[in-house]
Amino acid sequence: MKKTSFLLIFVLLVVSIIFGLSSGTEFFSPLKILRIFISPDQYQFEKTILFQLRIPRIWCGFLVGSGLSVSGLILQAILKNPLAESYTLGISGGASLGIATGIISGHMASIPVFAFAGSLISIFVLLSIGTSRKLSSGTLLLLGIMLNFIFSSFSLLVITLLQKERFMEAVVWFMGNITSYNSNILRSAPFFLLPGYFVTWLFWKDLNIFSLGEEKAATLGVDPEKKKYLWLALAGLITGYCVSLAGLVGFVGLVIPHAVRIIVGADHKKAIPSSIFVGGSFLVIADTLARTIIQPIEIPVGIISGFFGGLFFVLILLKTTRKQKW
Amino acid sequence: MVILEFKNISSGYGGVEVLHNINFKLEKGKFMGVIGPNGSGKSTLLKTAAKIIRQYKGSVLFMGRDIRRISFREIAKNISFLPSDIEIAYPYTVRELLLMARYPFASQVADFSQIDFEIVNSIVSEMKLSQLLDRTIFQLSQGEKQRVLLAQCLVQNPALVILDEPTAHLDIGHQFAFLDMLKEYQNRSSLSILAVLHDLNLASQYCDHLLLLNNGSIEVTGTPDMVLRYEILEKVYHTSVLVYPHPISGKPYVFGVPDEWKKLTKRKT
Repeated sequence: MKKTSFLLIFVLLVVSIIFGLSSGTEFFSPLKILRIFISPDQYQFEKTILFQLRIPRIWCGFLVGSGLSVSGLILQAILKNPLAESYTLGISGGASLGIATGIISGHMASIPVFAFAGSLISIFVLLSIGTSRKLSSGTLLLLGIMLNFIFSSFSLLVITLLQKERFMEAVVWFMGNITSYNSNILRSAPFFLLPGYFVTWLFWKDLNIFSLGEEKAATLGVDPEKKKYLWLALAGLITGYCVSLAGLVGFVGLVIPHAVRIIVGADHKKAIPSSIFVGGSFLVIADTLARTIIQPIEIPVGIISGFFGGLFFVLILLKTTRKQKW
Repeated sequence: MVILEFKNISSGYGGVEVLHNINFKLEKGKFMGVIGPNGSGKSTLLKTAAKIIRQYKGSVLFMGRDIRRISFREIAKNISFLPSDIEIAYPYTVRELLLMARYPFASQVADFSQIDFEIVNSIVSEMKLSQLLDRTIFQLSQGEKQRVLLAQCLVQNPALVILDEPTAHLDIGHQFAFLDMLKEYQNRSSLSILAVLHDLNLASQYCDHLLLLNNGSIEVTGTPDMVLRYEILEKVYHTSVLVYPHPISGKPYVFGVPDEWKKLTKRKT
């Protein structure tokens, strides 16, 4: 990796963390943050804000942003489609349906399991329609976006019918929101997400080969059927955890891999670790904006990421249709 | 020695049979061209040979072994495939693309070895690609791109290369440059080649053997002199043609005839 791009990513990470630590109803200067870290007992009030609120929230934002980016990168390589990600393919929607089922049945502790099951179901639906009808990658994407609407509308409907009082909470959550993350899920998340990232990075060559298309991949020695489903399941697991933490945060998985390819190139050896850090930093910044931009109201982070991500999506769409890349 | 053999192959996609009872043998070091009208099953034949299509009747033998019994990885060490109209979706550099072809030889998780880099380097210098190494595939012209994709196939160090219309979008200069390079590898390292070529005259000049497909069956197979005959071509392609020897190579050369000239011509072969 070129030194400048490494430096750029590192600076982004540091800036996002400092921004997240210092911003809020109470502004802490970087110097003050340092003092709180050195002698926390002198700053009881500030310590609580920093360690109980801001740090867990930054950690949660980082995990969600990096997870969505890594799963986006996997999906884009496996399906050879630069516009693929868990949101545009309906996988996030499937996860939300799983979560809605989990909430209704009262199994709050195993929400991620329900989310994982939901994302697997939506992958299955997408692929079985996609392969039986031999859909082009553009049509597959359209199908995915529709699946996302169907799944998330249905789960919102179910939640509203059964627990009316939680309607607003559910709406906010469906827009993508880090305010109300479940701290039990946040505690278990690293044990699934970090190994998931590691496995993805360990098999970076697979993703390179797959991204040339299934036919070429087969003739380069990848068993396309067996491995494809393992990769999709991994993307589903990561997505499931991210949706369990933060709801439907759209377009991060699309924008970050694209940005990363511009910075470090398409080779997955570099693109995977870069996506983890750039994606994590991006969502930390977006979430900090979301909770400070209209104080004292906290808006869902999905509004910020959706705004910038959607804008970016349109730009890519204009560029790719001109070059007819899909 | 026979490198590739089709035994009673009936093959197709999703339950629709495209090829019917195909039998042929490709000798080691030979260049076989597959020709035939649109939709006659040329690509299906190549994809069956490359183990991309895996549901078919009959058997495909590579060096006497059924390819269904050979793992993808093992096949990739011996056979490389260039699909038609390959679209690369991401901005990989030429260097990265060439290294990818060492995938079947490399460890699943570790980085590529010194040998992999050396093989890439030797192909790069033989094919004069060093100027392009750090460019992305999006920055190449059609001719350069096709040359890189052929180099990628050769980095696999194959005994057999399968090419689906490799010269389709190239101008006449790049068409000849591409096939000359291929021919050089055929002669130098007794590479075997199985290629779909749309252009009958290119096929005639470069191939040792031709296989003419018509509606999914072999119409005729043999040397270009045996296959490119007007009575055969007119029957298969449903158009009037004239066949004369190429003034230099002496190989058959096929001329199509527009309708308005047909009444003026007298048949010659």
